[in-house]
Formats: sequence, C-alpha cells, structure tokens
Amino acid sequence: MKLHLNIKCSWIRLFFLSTVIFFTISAFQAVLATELFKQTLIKDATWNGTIILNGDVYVPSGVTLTISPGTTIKFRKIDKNSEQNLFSTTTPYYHLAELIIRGKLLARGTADKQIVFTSAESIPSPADWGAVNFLGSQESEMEYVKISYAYNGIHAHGSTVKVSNSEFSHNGVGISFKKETKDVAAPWFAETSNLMISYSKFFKNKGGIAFRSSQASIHHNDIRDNSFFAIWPKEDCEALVTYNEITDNKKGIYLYQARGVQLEQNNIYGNSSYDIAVGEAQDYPFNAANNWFGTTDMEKIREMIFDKHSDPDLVEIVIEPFLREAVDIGAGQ
Amino acid sequence: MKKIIVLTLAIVLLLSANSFACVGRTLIIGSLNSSNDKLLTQLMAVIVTERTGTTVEVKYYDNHAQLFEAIKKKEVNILPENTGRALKLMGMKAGEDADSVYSVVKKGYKDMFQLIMLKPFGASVVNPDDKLFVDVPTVDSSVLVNFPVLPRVLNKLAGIAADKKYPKLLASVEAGDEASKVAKDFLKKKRMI
Repeated sequence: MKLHLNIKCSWIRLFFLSTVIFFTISAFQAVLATELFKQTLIKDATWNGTIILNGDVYVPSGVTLTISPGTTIKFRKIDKNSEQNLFSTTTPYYHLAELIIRGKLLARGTADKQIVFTSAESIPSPADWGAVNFLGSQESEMEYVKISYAYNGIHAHGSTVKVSNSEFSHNGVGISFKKETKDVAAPWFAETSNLMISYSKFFKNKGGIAFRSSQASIHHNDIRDNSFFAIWPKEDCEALVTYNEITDNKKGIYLYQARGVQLEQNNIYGNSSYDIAVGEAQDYPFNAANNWFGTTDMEKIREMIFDKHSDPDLVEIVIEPFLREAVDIGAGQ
Repeated sequence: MKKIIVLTLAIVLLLSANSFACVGRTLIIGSLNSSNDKLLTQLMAVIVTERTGTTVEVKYYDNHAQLFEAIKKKEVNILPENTGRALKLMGMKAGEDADSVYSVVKKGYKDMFQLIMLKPFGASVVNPDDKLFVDVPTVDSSVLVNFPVLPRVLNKLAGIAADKKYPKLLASVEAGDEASKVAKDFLKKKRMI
C-alpha cells in the first residue's frame, strides 16, 4: 500500500513539475518574441527566434527576407478594421495578416529545425491569417517549413517559388497560385506563376493544392485527409503531377476547365467521394492514364471517377491503361 | 421576430469555382422552414457545392415576407420559390394550368425583381391536390455574372420533386433526419454528384 502511494506521489510531482516547466518556457518565449506591426522592409533582413506579426509585412522588390532554421512566425488574427493591412483587403490581398513578398523570400529550414508559420491565437483555426503571399516574386524558396491555420498557406501571382520537404495543415488551401485576367495596375497579377512543389505533406486542409493557368511541377508529395480536394487544376496550365500519394481526401483530383496537366505515375485511391471528378464546366477530356487507383478491378475504378459515365453532359476522364500496382513514391521524406 | 439559422454546408470551402478569387465568394440560399423547402434548398446547396466547388451557406426564414426582404437586400442569392407564393406576392391571378402560371410568374419575377426562375423542381408536394403550382429554383440575376454555370447546375434538379423517391425523402426530413444528409445521399445514389 505504501509503495503504491509513493508511486502515485511521484506521478503527481512529475505532473506538477512538467506543468511548471511548460508554463515557464511559454512565458519565457513570449518575453523573447519579437512583435511586429504593419511595415515595409526597406533593406535585406534576417529573422530568427519567435516573430509575432500583428499586421502585414511587405518585402518590396529588390529586398530579400531570409528566415533562419528554427524560426517560428506567428500571425495574430486581425480584421479589416484593425488598420494593420498595408494594401487593399481584397484580391490579391487578404483582410488578415499576411507576409507579402514582392522581392524574395528564402525560408530554408532543416529536417531538425523547421521554420514554422502559424496562428498566434490560443485556440487556432483555419484562416486566422492570410498567406505567405508571393506577388511577382522570383526565385523564392521554402524548404522544411510548416504552415498551418492560414487562409491559403502559400498564395502566388506571377511568381516563381520552390517548395520542398514542407508540411501544410489546417489551412483553407495549402498552396494556391494562379494567373488572373484582370488588371489591378500590377503586371504580376496577370502573369503566370511557376511553382515547384516536392516531397511535402498536405493534410487536414480543406484543399491541398489549387492552381489556375499556371506552370507547376508537383511530385513526391503526400496529400491526404483534406476535406474537399487534394489537387485542383483549373484552366490552361502547363503542369506535371507525378509520384504523389493522393488518398483519403474527399475528392482526389478535381477538374475545372483543366488543360495541359500531365497526371501520371501517382497513387490515387481511397478518396471518400471520388478519386477524380470533373466540375460542371470541364469541357475538355482529361487523360488520367498510367496511375494506380488502388485496384485492378475496372468496375471499382470507374465507381470512383465522376465523368461522362456518371452524367452524359460531362466529359470523359481517360483512365486506361491504368497501373496494376502502386507506385513507389517516397513521398514527404 | 426574424429568426435566422445559418448552416454552413458540409465544409467551409474557401474557394469560388467561377472566380477562383484569392478570397472566395459565397453563395447564400434562403429558405423557409418547411420540410419541403429545407429539402429543396439542401438539394441545391449540395449539387452546387459538389459540382462547382463553391461555398454555399443556407439561411432559414420564418415567413415568405422576411425571405423576400432578404432577397431585396441582396442578403440571399438563391431560393426555392413556389409559383403559388410568387403569384400571391405579385397580386396576380392564377392561370389555367401549371405551365401558364409558371410563365406568368417567371416573367413577373424577372421584370419586377430581376430574379431568374430556372426549370421547375416539379409539382409542389405540399399541396398534392393542387397541381397548379410548382417549386422552382430562383436566382438573383446579378450573381450569374460571377457564377455563369449556376443555371446549368441547378437545372439538373428539374423534375426532381416528381421523382418517385421524393416523398420518401420528404418523410425522412419530416421525421427529423438532417436535410443536407438526405439530399446528399439521394444525389450520390443517382450519381448526380
């Protein structure tokens, strides 16, 4: 009995000690954090430690922001009445706090020291902050970063960005990039983006990767458990989507007037609604041959494809020849 | 007292299929609280979401006057309208058959309120002995600029109220089943989503 009580006391002591240590570290981190309000960086800068953003930070053309491995950047939830937005609160900006990159961002973490972009809220939720927003940025790089609770983790117009070995979770959409046709008095708005996304994980977002009229290289990613779609190409693209694991999403690939997307050598299976589905306005047949759909049973594969076989008004998704075994993708490593 | 229950359909997807704007637009469907209106509303909400990727919210109103006030204020973009209710609202007399009533009401709504009536869901099951009136998906014309595929999608529900399984769906909603789930299961089984 005495031994039992001693063990119990030890656990209580350990719990108490852990709690004290946790709160001490949290308080210490809060004191050490750098708080920034809306501002434009006027020269190259390097961030490290913990940065709390209370508004937009703008990296203009010609300026490079470097973020050191192990840095954590937290965004406070603001609204359009906060006066912490630098520009408009509508497209291509957000009414939420965002990191706007017109110059260059180099966020290179390491496997051991990832760079974290997240919400500063005590109870975070998707869309607490806007995005890492690339607008006409060239040669930016993000590797070993973790992005969560943004409206769009990464958002881009007319930009070239390389993303690798990173994680996107609890965002509206993990990565969203596009070319718009409207003129907002900025040339990059209507220019093509080119994103290279590899060896990354997308999970528990509403959508994984969405792109419109853009160039994309999307390979060796693990895209699962996203509540609406894994990958959503739209309109005239030049994209290679290969060696990705796309499973357990609501819709695996969702198509909206998509052309120019080479989709092959992926594992696309086990998505709850459809592995591939065409949206209402898809007017072009889509080639999805040479992918693994989790089975070699043609009838079962067809059940998970939403196209003209479901509704004659829709176009056909070509799935044959399909792969007869899973692809070794080595995703998210 | 106006009572508005806002239900966000399934997930709050942050994109609009048509605009693909950086911050997505949302479509609002306004509905009365009856089981039939709830079911028709959810059939529209589900098919629009699934086939266009657009976020859809549903707002419920206690009576037609409140719902129509919300339409006028542009707080609601779409509603399941009944041609009998529409006729009463415009102070018009009923025609001789359902087609003529629909034609009159369709023109009246477009001219007076800039509301576009699409293909009818079919005869109103609320008044089974009265074949004069039908339920119709009705859209504020101003939203068609940003959502041009909307008529195409909603017209897929044409005649759905005449489906032999519809009374069973309605009974299910009346028994307390969630209208959104009933609508989703039905459309999925029919491979419409």
